[in-house]
Amino acid sequence: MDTTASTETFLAEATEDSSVALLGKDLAEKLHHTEYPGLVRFLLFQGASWPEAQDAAQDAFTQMCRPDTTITYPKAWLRKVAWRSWVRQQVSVEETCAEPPDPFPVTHWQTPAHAVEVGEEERAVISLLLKLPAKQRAAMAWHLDGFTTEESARAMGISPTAVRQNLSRARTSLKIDLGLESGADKHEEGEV
Amino acid sequence: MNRFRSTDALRDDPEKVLDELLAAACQQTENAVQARLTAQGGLPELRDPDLALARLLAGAHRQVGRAVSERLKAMSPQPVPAERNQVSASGGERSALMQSHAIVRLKYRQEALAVSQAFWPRDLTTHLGAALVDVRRLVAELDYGNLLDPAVLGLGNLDRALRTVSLLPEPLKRPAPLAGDDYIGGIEDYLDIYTARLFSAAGSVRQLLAEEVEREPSTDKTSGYCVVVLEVTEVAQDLLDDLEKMNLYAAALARAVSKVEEASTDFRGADLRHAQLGGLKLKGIRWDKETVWPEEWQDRIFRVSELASEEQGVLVVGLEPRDSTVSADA
Repeated sequence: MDTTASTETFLAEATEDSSVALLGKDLAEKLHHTEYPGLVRFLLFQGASWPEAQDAAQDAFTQMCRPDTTITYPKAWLRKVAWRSWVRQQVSVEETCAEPPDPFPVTHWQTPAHAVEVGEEERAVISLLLKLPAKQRAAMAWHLDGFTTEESARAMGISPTAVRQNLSRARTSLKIDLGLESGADKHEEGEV
Repeated sequence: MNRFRSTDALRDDPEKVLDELLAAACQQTENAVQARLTAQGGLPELRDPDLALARLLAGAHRQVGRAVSERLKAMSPQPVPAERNQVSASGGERSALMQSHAIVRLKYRQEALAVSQAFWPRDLTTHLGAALVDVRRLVAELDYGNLLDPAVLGLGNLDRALRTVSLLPEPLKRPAPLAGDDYIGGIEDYLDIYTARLFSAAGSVRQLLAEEVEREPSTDKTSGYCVVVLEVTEVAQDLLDDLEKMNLYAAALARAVSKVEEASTDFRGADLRHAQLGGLKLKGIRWDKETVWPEEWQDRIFRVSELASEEQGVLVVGLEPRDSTVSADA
């Protein structure tokens, strides 16, 4: 049984309005239109392919429909449940994005690093994001969706310090790989 | 050398440049997601648990129905050429082979094992299984409306499966067997039935690929060439149907080959008292206390046999380290 519902009440206090607590299907119907694209993007940044992201996003909304589910901070809840759903699809999350293909724009893209709608510069940034270690990638995905370090830490099940370190290392790697900073400044790599 | 936003002002503040790049990447990804969702007809419908269950049940029902009908079709007896029907004329597959005279099975066991080895589909089912996963995923994505024409499909597994099929003996184009004509020929005819089905299904797949898809170098190095499928929905479903047939026929061929090997190995309860064992390779033969060997061979065969670990009361010839071939001079 998924315990997300019982633990999520600490999440996203800064990013979400928790004043209206809807139940199950009502909440899913209310949020489906507005939150679905953002949820798919969150999963894409985690390393999911387009069909994987859609499956996991659908699954999260399906789970949200359960009548016994009470959710106070639905944006964080959706991301956490969708991420777990995506992880269950994978043999190994790390393998999925260990070597993303070179950016090559196509209409029927599997990752945004291939989307024709995304500029060359941004495709390169996304490609580098997807090459980050899993925890750094996850920390960046939560951060880019506007969640605080505390919220990300609770969702990821790690300490706020670890989140900060993963974010810092991710940014350092990105800056070096993008040529914004010298490689000599790069500190020890890896996840925390 | 930085190729991103390379003005002096921005270079002085790499944190700001990175934030700008990340924000732009986020915004453009959101635009791309929206465009993709719009192109596939808008947001997918919200699947509440009842709807999700209904879809799962409908999909499972459809696939099981298709699998059952294909399985029944694959298992239905096929006509056998009249001039070589010794193997399959007397009933089911296993009993037909095993009912061939034990002395004949023993005499031609090496030839029969060589034939079975030639017909063994190797890792065809593995490649086909992987190709089926690829195509089923494509069909599922089409069902969900995630793809537009043309869709892209990795062909590495499918190409490997087709190459494996081409390594099998082509039906009805072999020279007539020189030894054990009736028995070995019957086995080949028996296996030909399965390879003919497999060749036919593989031919359909090849024709479909030749007519309906365009090959392009894949950007994914692990999957070899990819195909751009035109008229996606119909082609993908046809490809899936043909591959599922191939998979069934490959499994049926593997079972048939196993039965030939069994007939060449299993001599439990066989009466071999009049068999000429000189020069025959007996290694691997399974026998039991009911097996009757020529009197002069009984002790030697017993010495080079060991109890089979998986079956009680069954012995296997040749499990000792020494050469198990029992020569006529021994």
